[in-house]
Amino acid sequence: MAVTGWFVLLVAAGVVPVVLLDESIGAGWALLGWLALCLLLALVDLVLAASPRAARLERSTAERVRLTESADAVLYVTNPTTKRMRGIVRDAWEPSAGARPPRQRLDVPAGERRAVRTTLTPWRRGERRAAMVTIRAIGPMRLAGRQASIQLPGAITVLPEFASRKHLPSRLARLRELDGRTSVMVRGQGTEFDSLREYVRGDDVRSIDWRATARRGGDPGGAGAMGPAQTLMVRTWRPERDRRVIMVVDSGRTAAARIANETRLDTAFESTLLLAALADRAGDRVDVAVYDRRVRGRVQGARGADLLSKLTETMAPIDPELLETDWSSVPALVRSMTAQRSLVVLATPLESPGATRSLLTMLPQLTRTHLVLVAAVTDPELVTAAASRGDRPAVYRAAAAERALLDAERVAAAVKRLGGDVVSAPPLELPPAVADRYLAYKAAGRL
Amino acid sequence: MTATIVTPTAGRAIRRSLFWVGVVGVGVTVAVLMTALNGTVTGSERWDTSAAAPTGSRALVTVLGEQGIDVTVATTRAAVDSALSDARDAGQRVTLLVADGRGILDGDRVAGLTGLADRLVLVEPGVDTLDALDFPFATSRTVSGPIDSDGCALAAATRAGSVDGDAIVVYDTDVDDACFRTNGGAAVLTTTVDGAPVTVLGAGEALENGAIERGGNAALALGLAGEHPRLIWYSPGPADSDVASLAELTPGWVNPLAWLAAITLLVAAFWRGRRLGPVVIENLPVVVKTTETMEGRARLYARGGARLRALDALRVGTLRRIARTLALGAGAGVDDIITSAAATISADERALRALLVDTEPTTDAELVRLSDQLTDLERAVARRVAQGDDTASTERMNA
Repeated sequence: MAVTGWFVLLVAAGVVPVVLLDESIGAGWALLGWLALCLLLALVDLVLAASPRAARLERSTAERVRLTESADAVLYVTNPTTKRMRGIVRDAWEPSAGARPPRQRLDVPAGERRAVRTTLTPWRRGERRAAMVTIRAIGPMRLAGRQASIQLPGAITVLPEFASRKHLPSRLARLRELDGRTSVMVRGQGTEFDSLREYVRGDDVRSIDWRATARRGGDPGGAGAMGPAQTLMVRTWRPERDRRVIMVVDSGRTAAARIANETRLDTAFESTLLLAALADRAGDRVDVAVYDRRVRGRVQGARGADLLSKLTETMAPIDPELLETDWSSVPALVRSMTAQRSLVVLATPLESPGATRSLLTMLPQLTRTHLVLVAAVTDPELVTAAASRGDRPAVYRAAAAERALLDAERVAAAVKRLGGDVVSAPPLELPPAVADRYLAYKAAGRL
Repeated sequence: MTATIVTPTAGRAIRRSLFWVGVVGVGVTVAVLMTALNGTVTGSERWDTSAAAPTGSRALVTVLGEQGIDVTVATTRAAVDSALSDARDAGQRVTLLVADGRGILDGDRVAGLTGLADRLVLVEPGVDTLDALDFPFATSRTVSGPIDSDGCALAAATRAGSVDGDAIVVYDTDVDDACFRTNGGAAVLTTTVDGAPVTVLGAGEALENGAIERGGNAALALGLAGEHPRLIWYSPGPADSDVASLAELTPGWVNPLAWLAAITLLVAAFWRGRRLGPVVIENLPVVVKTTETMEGRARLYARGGARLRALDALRVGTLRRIARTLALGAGAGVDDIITSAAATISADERALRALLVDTEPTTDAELVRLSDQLTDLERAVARRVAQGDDTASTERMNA
């Protein structure tokens, strides 16, 4: 049961009969009569309106959408009654699903079906649900309507944004530059022989493969007296492939903290996605685990396009848990993923010595066999606060910020002392920084 | 698939709200009953025959009725006339008591009441009323009782002996049969107009529930009102007024229009207030700002006055940055940093040591000053190093 603005106007229009009929029947009776008439008309309108309870509903929603992008959610309303169903419909999604428009006009002739299109622009990762559909069917006189909310579950998976993918092309270009570089630049552990090609000017003379040159020069064309008919061959090298990269993302309570409007967990996901995309193109094997006290998500053995889609889908529903991460079982987790030497990236904040004690205790077990990189988000606001010294409260703030920066530095130093490596950067800069560090390892053959 | 409909049907909604409708109904009934049983609400006018309030006159009327007096309460002049003709038909003698608590009747209307009954009692009449009756009196004023009767012609007054009250109206007059005289005034005057006695009762309190038991009030009231077997108690209502009321001046549709406006407002409220289905609930994750620990620590420093601790944190930050600017490496100690910084900006090493290590701030102002000096030092070192680089590169280029 609902009334429209027209009904309110109709009631207000009672001014005319009340004033005009005052002389003949009395204003009070005119008022009562008018109200009775309004009520009667509204009741007739109610009876003539199609029943929204009878409507048959169906949903067709896009299965997944990347954060900040839009997807369509279509609702099919079938009107099995003999009356025309006209009015308003609301597809009730969760607020963070960003459904627009929130309510729409509905006009379904008797026995027909119409589509109601809602655009979803979610502003939160995870699974966004729709609870119900509310239909308000207005009568032919547009005075009153019948309303019913019908449960109709729906859901859409909102994938991580992967905003850092804009850094991917430049990093892939750098990766290609690493490929085919002459041996002296990159030769060493972690590089492997790629191919033989003809010498061009500018190549390092030390990379000339004399044996291959001799083999090549065996043919009779090279016997001429003038000029060097002999073609020199050089060896090329490329970074070693099929290395393992293992990423462990901390989803404990410290990951819930929000820096520059992004939780640490989201930043960690961004870094993971960029590094996974890059490492996969570089021919390395990428395994990812999201962990706090239990494994919240795990992607192993996927390659190519499959890897990224599996990653985003695994990450989509994970929110930080408000509990302390159990670092002591991380070595066992890494062991369960691989036994060979690999690059282990731990995405976790390095804040204060107290909060990272268990991480530091565990670290030697990892650094013994693996190359460990800790990717930590720093808060740019700390640096700003430390630099602003206007008045008394600002100075105390600056002191506290300096203290926090010092703590973070001490923890980073401790990690380095234990054999790990640290990348720390503000949220938007961390993913490319991690990718760059990976490329540096690759170039130096440390993988 | 059968869809679950969340909205209750009309019947179910009514059944569900039945309890509350019942509660409200019972409440209203109780309120109405209480009002009916306790009589009118307080604040009623004086000499209201149905009011049990201190200013009402229910006690007197009830006692008169018990004593066999035929009491008729009239609120209009027409009712008075019909009661008078009833009494005349029954051959009863009549007392007409005019208790005009609201001051509705003007002098002419009161003058029109004379000669109709065997006695006309006017309770605390106004000055213009008495003027219209040609009453021989000068002024009126208010005194407090008790006042003795002093013996007068009015039998009821003599029997009462005295009248008591907090605000008795006395009339300055030289009429002979005035009773309850005090200081040249009298509270009860009697005179004959149009062949019937007219008694002016200045002690209106004698009729009220609250004061009827004081002094001779009860005797006076019962004696005056119960003199004849029939009493017509005339409390004039708005209908007897000559002044047009606001309601008479406005057209008849104003009230209904006000009602219509109120109802329109209610309907509009229902129109806008009816929401399109229930709110969808969503569990949002906890949002923690990372700077909260920093802010908390800053407030702790400020509240505890930990100036040295705060300054030391700032000093360590400055030292680290200077060491980085001067490329001193991680192993450099405080002394090394101070020495090379002093050399860089050619400052006094002891002064630098005082700023960076020794001085203990005693006031917040000093803390702020030291913090500013630290920033200045950092800037000076950075500027010097940049200049040095510039000079070095210029020299290289010149070479």
